[in-house]
Amino acid sequence: MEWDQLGKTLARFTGAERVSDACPVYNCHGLTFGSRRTQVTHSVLPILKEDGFDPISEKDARAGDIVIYSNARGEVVHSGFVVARKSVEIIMGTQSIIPVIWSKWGKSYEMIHAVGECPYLEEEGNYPTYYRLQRWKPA
Amino acid sequence: MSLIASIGPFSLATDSAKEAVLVANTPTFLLERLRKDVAVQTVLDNMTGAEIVAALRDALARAPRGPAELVPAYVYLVALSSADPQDRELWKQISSLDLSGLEWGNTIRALISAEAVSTTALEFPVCDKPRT
Repeated sequence: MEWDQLGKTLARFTGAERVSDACPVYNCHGLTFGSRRTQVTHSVLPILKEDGFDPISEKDARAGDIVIYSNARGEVVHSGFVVARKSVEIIMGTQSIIPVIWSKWGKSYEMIHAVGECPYLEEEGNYPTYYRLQRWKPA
Repeated sequence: MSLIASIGPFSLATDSAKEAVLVANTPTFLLERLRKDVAVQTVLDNMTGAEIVAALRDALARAPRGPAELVPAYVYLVALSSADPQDRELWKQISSLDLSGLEWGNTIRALISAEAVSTTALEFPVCDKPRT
């Protein structure tokens, strides 16, 4: 199936860079936790807990950390990797340094984007949380 | 021309509904996004529950030639989340739908069915004399 044909509106994320073709085989969690091998549609919070990831603040997030996007009820809707930090103008010359994310948008593309420049923070109440594997400590 | 034909499945594949189907990583996200989509509102404004079930059954009867043809089916299914929880006949029809052609069809049906638990009215006798 040609999933590309559904993605016309994604052009509104002008600062997001598309880095792969559309692929329905794996979703965001499949990229973050499954080496692009499968879709992971159940909650990934147990994976974070069992593998020993710790939550960190946004200001501490750096390349290699994981970002989890949740809705207002705390249900996970998206995930990805932090790949960099960049300075952006917030308002009237005010600068802020924010995480840059590499993530897979559903059945569409892998994208590199500022943390807020994606469909997963558009819903009111959605928020990102960052995690780091400080050391391997499986339960 | 019937009302169902006038809003037709292809006009329900709005750009925003297509995007929701494309970028959803989980059934919950897809359900929430489509619920707020104008396509679902259009269905709810123009079709009865029974008509939505019939349209969904019709959409599922044909093998999709592309992802865009999956979109109306998800729109109809999500529209059924607004079905009256008291309408047992309608929920029986919803339960009987073969959703195997939709990757997240069964999961979304389970989600909307769980939400549709009807409320029960309880009557309590009022004691107007304080007990001594």
